[in-house]
Amino acid sequence: MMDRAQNPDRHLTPDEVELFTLGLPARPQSAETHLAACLECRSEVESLQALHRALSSLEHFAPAPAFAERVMARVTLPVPWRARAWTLARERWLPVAAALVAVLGATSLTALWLGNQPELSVGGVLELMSREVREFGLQVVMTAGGLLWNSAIVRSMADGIVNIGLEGAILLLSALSLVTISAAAAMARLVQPTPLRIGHTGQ
Amino acid sequence: MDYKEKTDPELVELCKRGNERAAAELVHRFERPVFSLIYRMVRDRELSEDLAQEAFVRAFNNIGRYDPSYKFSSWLFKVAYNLTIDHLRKKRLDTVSIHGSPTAVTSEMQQATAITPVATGELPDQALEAREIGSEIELAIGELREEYRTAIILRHVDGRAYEEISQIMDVPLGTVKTYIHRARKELQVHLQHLLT
Repeated sequence: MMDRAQNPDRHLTPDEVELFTLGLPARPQSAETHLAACLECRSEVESLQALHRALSSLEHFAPAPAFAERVMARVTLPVPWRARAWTLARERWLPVAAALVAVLGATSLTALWLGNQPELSVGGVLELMSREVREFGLQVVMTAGGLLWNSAIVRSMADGIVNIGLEGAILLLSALSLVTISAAAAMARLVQPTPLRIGHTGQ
Repeated sequence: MDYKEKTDPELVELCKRGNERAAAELVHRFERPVFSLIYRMVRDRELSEDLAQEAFVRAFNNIGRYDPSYKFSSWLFKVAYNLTIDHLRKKRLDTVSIHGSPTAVTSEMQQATAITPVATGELPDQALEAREIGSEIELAIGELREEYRTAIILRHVDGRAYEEISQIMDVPLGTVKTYIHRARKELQVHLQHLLT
């Protein structure tokens, strides 16, 4: 576009009209000179000034009373984990304190008992503990296995596998897995929050 | 702590730390401009309340995603604008009337949804004139395309900068200028008798 210095008769651009309409500073001198001489541009600026005055006189409408309270009843602000932990500890201080005392007490008593067993070395204690844990674990597995085998469901399932054969059992297992995965996916979609769309609105 | 003294970024920071009083102050600060923008777009008080409420709730529940390099008001208006545009597109409410919601089926409903600008303490004659001029301007705004309407309201009623309007409407700066230029031209035609 040709500069006004080269062509003083060129009319004001929309941006220049805006500057004069809103009475903003930084109005170029050449545009001021043109405006003083050009009836068309002056009339455009005056008309827009009147429109601007009319529009800026419009009132803001008010929502119904207690709008803010209704909004706040639905707002869930994010709480940082430290504040959340502190609130939880403050609100449930009694169970938290009791749990801490119990853990500290048990640890102290064990340490005291170990201190009174001079024949036990650190290695010996660890070996004793691992043996106890192993035996306990084995006992749990054996008991659970026995209970399952004796239950009617497992027996009928075993009978069913015999009836439908190995291929049938694998097919049944696959179908069950598929149903479980689909159910899990559906649940995940249900609990997932609706994403906030702040992007392009597509005009 | 006096929340009224705090700036918008300070209040937003407090909101991010879970401070509900800071959020309530922001609601008080922006409830009128947000509600007005939506009301001028949908012309239905009840619906505007619902949309404005939803806009605030979404903005605050997602405050963690707010980018502080933009003004909080731009973010809030953007949420409100998107919700309103989505609603209008769903309901195909292209043109609205100051005389009541297009969905109003009885004269009572029309009266309830009609816009009555509030006079601001002028003398009776001046108040009447202001009311009439207000109505004519509102009517003319209601005749604009929704994009033009939003842009002209944000620019001239709320006094927002072009860059801010561009962020709110998610369109380039040049498009905003075009919207406002065309909206002004249409308004100048509709309101010619008032502006001379």
